[in-house]
Amino acid sequence: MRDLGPQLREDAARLTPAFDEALHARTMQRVQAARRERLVATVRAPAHFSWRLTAGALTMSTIAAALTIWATRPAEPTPAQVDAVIQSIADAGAPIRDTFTRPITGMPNSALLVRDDGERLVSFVVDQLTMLPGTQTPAPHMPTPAGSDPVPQGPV
Amino acid sequence: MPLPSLETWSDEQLALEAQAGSSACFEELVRRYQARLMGFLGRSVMRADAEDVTQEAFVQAFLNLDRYSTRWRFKTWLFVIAQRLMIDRLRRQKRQRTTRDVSEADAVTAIDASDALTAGEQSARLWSIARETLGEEPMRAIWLHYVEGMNTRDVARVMDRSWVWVKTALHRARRKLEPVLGDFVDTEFRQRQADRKQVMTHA
Repeated sequence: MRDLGPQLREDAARLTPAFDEALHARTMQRVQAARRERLVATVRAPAHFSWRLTAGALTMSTIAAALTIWATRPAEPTPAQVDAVIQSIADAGAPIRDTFTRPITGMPNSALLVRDDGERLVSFVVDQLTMLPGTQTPAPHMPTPAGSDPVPQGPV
Repeated sequence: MPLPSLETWSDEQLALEAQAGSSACFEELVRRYQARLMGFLGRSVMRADAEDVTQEAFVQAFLNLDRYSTRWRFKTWLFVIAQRLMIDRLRRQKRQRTTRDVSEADAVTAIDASDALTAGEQSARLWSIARETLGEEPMRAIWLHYVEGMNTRDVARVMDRSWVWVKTALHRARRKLEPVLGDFVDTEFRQRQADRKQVMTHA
């Protein structure tokens, strides 16, 4: 039998579009947006408080600082770490000024910011540490959205 | 000493670095596979859908990097994701057409056959012949084997088919395409000869 490969590849090369910079830029934008959404989704406020964190109120430095606090547990976070979180939230425009931190009872992987008047709480529950550069902690299971899962479950 | 260019890294090295948080490494993977995914998907869905599925495949790959293992080739893993997303999209389109009382049997193939190839792509007739004579799935299998250079086991993983199915599909494809290819090559060859003669005559 003759080898079909060369002719098929030649024709496939004609059918394959050239590298598209605009598409590449759009793809990377979507990737970055998905990354932000994931991080925001994993930093969530307790349901019984009306406080909601939105994408606009969070910065990477906020999350990184919260993770730093998480990573130092069970030791108490240093004042500088607490200040970093508070400052970055304040920088992002969130109305938290006087806060203190403590781990949330019964909730692993969490840090809690509480305003001293007790009216507002923000908890950081970190599910996906591997999303952050340099973090080596194994990530706990991340639930996948409902519906079909396009991602292979593991090596065959 | 300057760092080695990412272009020299293997896909799997890049994927591991991307797992550890390197955006640059993931971007390099996107650069490597964007057009190739477009080529593969573009045989089965319209161009706009191919672009969308390509982007979505990269997003899903990025979000699930922690589930990637180097026991897979990165390319195989990525094509599995893209193929599954494409099948989902084709099913959705088929359902939408069914609800609009369009003939159910031809809903998907109608899009595939007429819209997947743009006028400029008609020059590559061999693949449209392959689609017509072999059908959608075997055509994708031979694309993965011949164009992407995947072995039959990796093709089976991407297609979610057995290894035997892939072997059989490839064998049938060779048998069916060989005579077509022979005619095709002969016609092309004769056309080129005629063109050359015409040029010589004018010269």
